[in-house]
Amino acid sequence: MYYPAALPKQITLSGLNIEYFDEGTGPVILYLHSNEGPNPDLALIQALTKTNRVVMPAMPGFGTSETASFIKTVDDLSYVALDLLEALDLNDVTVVGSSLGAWMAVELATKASPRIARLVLDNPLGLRFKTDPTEKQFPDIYQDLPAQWAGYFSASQPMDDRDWPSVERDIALRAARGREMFVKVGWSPYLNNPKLHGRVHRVTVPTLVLWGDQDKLANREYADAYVAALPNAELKVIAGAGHFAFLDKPEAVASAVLDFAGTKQNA
Amino acid sequence: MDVYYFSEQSHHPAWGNFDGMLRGDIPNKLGDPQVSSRLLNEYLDMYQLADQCGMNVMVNEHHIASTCMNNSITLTLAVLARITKNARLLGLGSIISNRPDPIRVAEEYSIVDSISGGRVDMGLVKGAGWELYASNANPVGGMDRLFEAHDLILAAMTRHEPFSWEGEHFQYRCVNLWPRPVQAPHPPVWFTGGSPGSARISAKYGYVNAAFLTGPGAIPTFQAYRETYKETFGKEAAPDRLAYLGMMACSRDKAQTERNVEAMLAYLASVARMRPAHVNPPGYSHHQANTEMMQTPPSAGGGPAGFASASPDDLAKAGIMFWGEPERIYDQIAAYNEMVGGFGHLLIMGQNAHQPYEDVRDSLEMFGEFVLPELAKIGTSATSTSKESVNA
Repeated sequence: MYYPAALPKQITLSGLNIEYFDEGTGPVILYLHSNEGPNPDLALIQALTKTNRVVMPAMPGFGTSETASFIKTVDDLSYVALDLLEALDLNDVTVVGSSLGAWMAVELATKASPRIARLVLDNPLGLRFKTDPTEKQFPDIYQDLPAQWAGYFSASQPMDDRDWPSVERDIALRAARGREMFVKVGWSPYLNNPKLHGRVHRVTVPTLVLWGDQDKLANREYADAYVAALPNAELKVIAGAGHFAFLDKPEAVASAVLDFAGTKQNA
Repeated sequence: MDVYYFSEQSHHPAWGNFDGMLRGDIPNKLGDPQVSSRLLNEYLDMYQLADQCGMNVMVNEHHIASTCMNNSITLTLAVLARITKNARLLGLGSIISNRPDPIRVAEEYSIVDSISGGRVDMGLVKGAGWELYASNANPVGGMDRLFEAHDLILAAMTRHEPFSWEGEHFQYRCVNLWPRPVQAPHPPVWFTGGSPGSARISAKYGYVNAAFLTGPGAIPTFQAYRETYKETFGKEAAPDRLAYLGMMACSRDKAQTERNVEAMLAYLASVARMRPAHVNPPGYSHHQANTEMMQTPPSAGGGPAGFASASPDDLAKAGIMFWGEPERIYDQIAAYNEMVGGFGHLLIMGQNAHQPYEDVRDSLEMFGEFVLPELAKIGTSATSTSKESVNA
């Protein structure tokens, strides 16, 4: 699911050349991608562009977007998303994020931009609720080869069986860059930002948390705790979806996003 | 050519009870503290014997591993500084890309250099991929941390007024190294480099580049070093800029040879016993290099694990393990040296896990008496690496 080419548009944010996608008309959705990077071919993106303007950057280190030594955390990445909201003068924005991108959306929303109207968090990461330091919140996927990660993420595509020697070089490069950035920001603390607990009270916009009931990375207890941690959130369970609900059940995720945003769906 | 004796200091008695990964996964409940105590003392005895036999010594460091109990190079070197007399004391290497406190590394090397009267060789390394799971250092940016830590350690050893350091990765209000190392301006630095790319980095600094168990892979690696060294310094790299590590067991007869070869093969088979993901977590290698690796179809061989099915003769020719009676060992080493274009330091893994104390003692004594004096002649006269007979 790595996209085979650069996204069509370029912009400079935080001094970095960032590629992004910006298509469709209607209310604005900012989509923050998962650790597999942005992909306009995803059914979810195709569905959302029918009724909405969808802006989807490749965050620093993903796709061909530049990164820099000052990008070390998801919090750091979220400032680039904040820059994008301002640079494109986006207003009344529904921020949708998947997995790592959902974590980024929460980090972004703690900056309390008046441009953000609501959040949809598709299987978010980023908070740790366990208090025993010897207890894992998530299985340690970094103990496995990247080809095996898909087994944690997707209920419909349990293994990554791409034949890397035969794919286009740009796809392999985008995959290698994305994996590197995912490890850089996710390694330690593992897939969470301890400071976020002290900041989530600032996320006052209406928030919909989606959880795939086949998620092998974060369980139902985690999703419930996440909803409870946010001031104004509700949970919707996506049946049959894994951690990458956007991949496993794109229609259900699209429909949940549009319902929550109050967008009319004619399809 | 000079020789450094080295042992990984394994806790191999635990391996028989465990089928899984010998690094990371093997629980320490399988290690008997009384056995650890006995083995570690034996390993120190062997280091002491190597010194008495005219060799230098090398110590390495790993964590979360039953294959290498030594978890602190400088701690063991501090012991060796007192119980050896003449040996150079090589630590190869301290994993400075993973250590949060490079000044501590500088302090410890400095005190070992001081106690030993200036016998330390300081190996500064990035460490294997699986070390990241022990230290929890981020796989991304390891080389940047390595070079900043290196710069800081050398600054601490060579600047003789207190100074502050506000780098990207490390910050100190007051760096003021007491004691200063005995060797001036600082103990010699060694890097590990098992590929042409990493050897070129060592060559730019003019440091000793050590290749571990790379076999014929040392040919392009050493060639890359020589080319870059000449480009950088305008002269040929002396043989003492290059080092190679192979396994070695010297024996007096057929029965002892068979025991030694069996122990070496068992060690070789243990090398691959780690999680595949631990070899190269994303970011440990740069994404450009990872792209190349992803797009290269898998091939047989490469690295010590690839030699697991080779015969002992093939392994000797490849420079992976040198074995047999003294004359044969000399011939194997001289032939390998010639094949790779010459190197100045032979690092011998001279104690191979299950190899018993008595066999290691015999091996070191025979090697010291019969092989070492002949190896000392290699590289001293122009480019001579011709085979000479050894009176065993």
